[in-house]
Amino acid sequence: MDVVQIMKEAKRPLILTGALFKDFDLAIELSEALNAHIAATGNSIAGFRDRGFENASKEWISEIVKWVCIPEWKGLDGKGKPDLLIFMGYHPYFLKRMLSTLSNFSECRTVVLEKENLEEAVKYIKEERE
Amino acid sequence: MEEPKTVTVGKTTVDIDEVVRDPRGIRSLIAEIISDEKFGWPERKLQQIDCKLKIFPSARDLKEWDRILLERYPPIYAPPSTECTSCTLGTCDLSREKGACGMDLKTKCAVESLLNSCKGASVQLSHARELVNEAIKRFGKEKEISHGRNVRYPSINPSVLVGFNVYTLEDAEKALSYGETQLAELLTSAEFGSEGDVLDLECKAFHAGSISFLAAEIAEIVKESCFGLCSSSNAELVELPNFPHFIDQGVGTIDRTKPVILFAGNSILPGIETIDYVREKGEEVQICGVGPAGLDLGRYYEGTKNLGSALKILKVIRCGIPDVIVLGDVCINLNVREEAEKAGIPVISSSPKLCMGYEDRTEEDISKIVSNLVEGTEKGIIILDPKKVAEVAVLTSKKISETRKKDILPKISEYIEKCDGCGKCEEICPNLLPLTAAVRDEKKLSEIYDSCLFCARCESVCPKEMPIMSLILKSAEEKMREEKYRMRPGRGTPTDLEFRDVAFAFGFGTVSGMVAIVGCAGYPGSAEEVGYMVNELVDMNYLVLTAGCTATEIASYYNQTEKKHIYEAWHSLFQIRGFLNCGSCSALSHVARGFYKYTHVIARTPINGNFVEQADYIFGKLPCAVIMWGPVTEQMYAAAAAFARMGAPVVLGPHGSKYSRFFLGNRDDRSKWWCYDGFTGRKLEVEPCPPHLIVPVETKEEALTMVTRLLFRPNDFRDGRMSKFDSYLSFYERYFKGIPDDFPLFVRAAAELPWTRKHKLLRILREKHGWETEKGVIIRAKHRDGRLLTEEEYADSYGIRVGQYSTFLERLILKEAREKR
Repeated sequence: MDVVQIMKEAKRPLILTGALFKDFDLAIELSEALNAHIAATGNSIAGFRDRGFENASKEWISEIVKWVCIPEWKGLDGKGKPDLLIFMGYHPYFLKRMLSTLSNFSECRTVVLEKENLEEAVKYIKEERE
Repeated sequence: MEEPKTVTVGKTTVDIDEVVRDPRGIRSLIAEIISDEKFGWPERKLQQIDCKLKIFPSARDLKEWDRILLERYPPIYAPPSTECTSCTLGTCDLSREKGACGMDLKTKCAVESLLNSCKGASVQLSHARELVNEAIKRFGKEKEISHGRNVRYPSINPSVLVGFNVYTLEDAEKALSYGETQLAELLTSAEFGSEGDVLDLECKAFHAGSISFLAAEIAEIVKESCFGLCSSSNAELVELPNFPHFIDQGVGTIDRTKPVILFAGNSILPGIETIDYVREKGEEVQICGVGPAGLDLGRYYEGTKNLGSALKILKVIRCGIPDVIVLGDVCINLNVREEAEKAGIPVISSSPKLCMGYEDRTEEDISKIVSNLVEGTEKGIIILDPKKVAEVAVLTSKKISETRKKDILPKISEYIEKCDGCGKCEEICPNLLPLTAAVRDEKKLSEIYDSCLFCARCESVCPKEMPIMSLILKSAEEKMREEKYRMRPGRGTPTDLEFRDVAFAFGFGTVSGMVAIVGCAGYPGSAEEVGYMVNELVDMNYLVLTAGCTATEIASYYNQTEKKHIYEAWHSLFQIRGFLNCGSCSALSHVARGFYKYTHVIARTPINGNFVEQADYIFGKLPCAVIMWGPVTEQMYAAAAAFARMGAPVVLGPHGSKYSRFFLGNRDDRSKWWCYDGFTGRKLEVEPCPPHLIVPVETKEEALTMVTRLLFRPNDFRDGRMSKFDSYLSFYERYFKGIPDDFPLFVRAAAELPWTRKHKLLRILREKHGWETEKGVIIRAKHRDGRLLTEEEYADSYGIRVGQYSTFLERLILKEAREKR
């Protein structure tokens, strides 16, 4: 699965969950499998806080996109810029615009996961680990 | 007569050559601006700072200010396509290389931004021009414009640019001519081989925005003073909390037994004539409007029925409500012609800007036109004389109403078995609604009604030619009968009377801020979302203004606490917990007036020809911001540019992301967050506020939180800052279950932290951010450069001290301080 390969190869993946995102448990599994922080945009942070998951922070999607386009940005933790953004749960028209900015004005790779892909991706990554 | 070289106020003389870049031909105007008794420059101010005016400015003249904004909030683009087809040199793919003309992708985006803004400005200019021309024909150029007894400043949006007040139609025309010249110049910059710098192009897009507000205010002034639209500028103070009158809103308010004329777009002039004709003849014709017509005509006539935003016109036609449709320019769904034909409803276009392929019948005999329309030999016509439109519309509607079949929606049972579930309708639906399942189930169809945009795209792809939109409407007939609301159609400007009362309350935090919620709305759920935001903000002691189709859509929102619909739930006074509808899209200029007036009331900042100082003050001090919700037309694009340029940041709803251009700040880059202390002339590092200038959000909860975040200003008073903290933290905690990471950036002193959260915030500052705090007091604050400083030292090196004033322009630093530097 190419997408899984891309995610596994990433050194500093960042997961982004948007306004439509609901599959918090799967996102947590993915975050743990990839050792990736979750930037929860829209209202999605509430789902992670309810589950007591700490490797997630409330962010604003436009800010993340802007920062990723700044060459010297050091990432949310100040330790390095993400090399892969994994988008989940965004309004399609909103996502399109953000991806346009990223593809044209940044070097960062992007992956968009629908619910089915997310389930599958988590399964693949877990299986390979085991 | 020789023009003056100097102007004297009291004992202070100013050299006019020092005031503007090129004073030729405008020396007398400059002398008047400075020395005018009512609106001129106070002598003390002339002594304190350099008086520099920008009269009839081009974009270049205001670049001084625009570049300050754009350096801090550089544009971010999200181009829908990387292909450039603007000229015949190529089709060029700009994703990696420049085009054959030398243009790169960012520049192309900036050119498109300028074009969008220019289109928005042209709509307002053309609307204002139409009204001014008609007013001049009727009353003559010398006709004095009455601004009302409650308004001290007659015209603000035009005056900040042209330097004079609009007192007559001749003044209005002169100001409009300036706007039209500017538009031509701006459009030239978007032409092949013209402007090539991204920021300069965006300066110009800003300028087009300001021009759109100039025109919009002239349109409003003329509508109110020459064509009789109600305005709070003349109302008694006791009337204002309930001003203006209510009108009916919603399709359920229509009496289907009586003739109905529907006005759409900017069709105010034929609308007014029709209302006058109906009144004069005592006709029982119902006057309805969608979009701007629904608001403007409502301000003229209490019997007007507003049937929704401009986007709702197809729904109204498909239901067979109108007997005649009168169109003005802009915001007209292009399917109107076809839909009206199918429904047997004749169309009259009243604008040369919207011909729709119809024949111009302006010169023809009325009885002949009416009989053609009634017999159906003409489906639509153009009439460019508003009086004639009125007579034709009334006579035609009366005759057609007697015979036209009004119950034209199809029976659901005839179609329910026809669908083979191919799913094409779902794929093409702009809102991805679950149509396949719904067309086989009446109950589900009725649920779809609440989310439908009424664009009929689903029908265009159905292989079985099912009238899906009509079926949705049929299933919701009962719901539509219940669509009966009351709304205030627009009150015009906030008045000086009210403003004097509230202006200081902004500074001292009694009123948390002024938020305008504007836009085209009209997409599924927009009424709920906008209504929710209004309620939340008003509840939080904000003053909320609205204008445009958003004002219409919101009427159906029911306030559960007050047990009333939204316009009945809140007073319409420009005061704490007020909710004011200013009017149609041109009334956005009244919102801007509200922002500008603050500077005049609080700081006595002269207005005429003094845009930059106004914007500098608003940006540095006034807690105002705009939420633009729903899809964005070019008019709103220009309006967003105008608001941003005058220092009022804009939050765009998720649909606004299609804007493809945003202005975001980078809080981590400390070099961007500075301003001058106007008293000492020191250039200081300040809080990253407002953090953004035009920013998209995903949800209404994000919009509320973001807008409160955008209200922080470097020049906040202590209590004002506390009030802002309170609303920002309240929304953030409620929706995102935590404390925002960026709050320490806005902390200047412990006394500014809201009491209810003070200890919690101080604990976070101590434990997470390394501040030294003790018993509710900051012992040492941690500067962004890592130093630990006492509160006094901190106040001296970060932010503007309370009681000082901030400015982004060196020339606005006190002369005395500048000399000492």
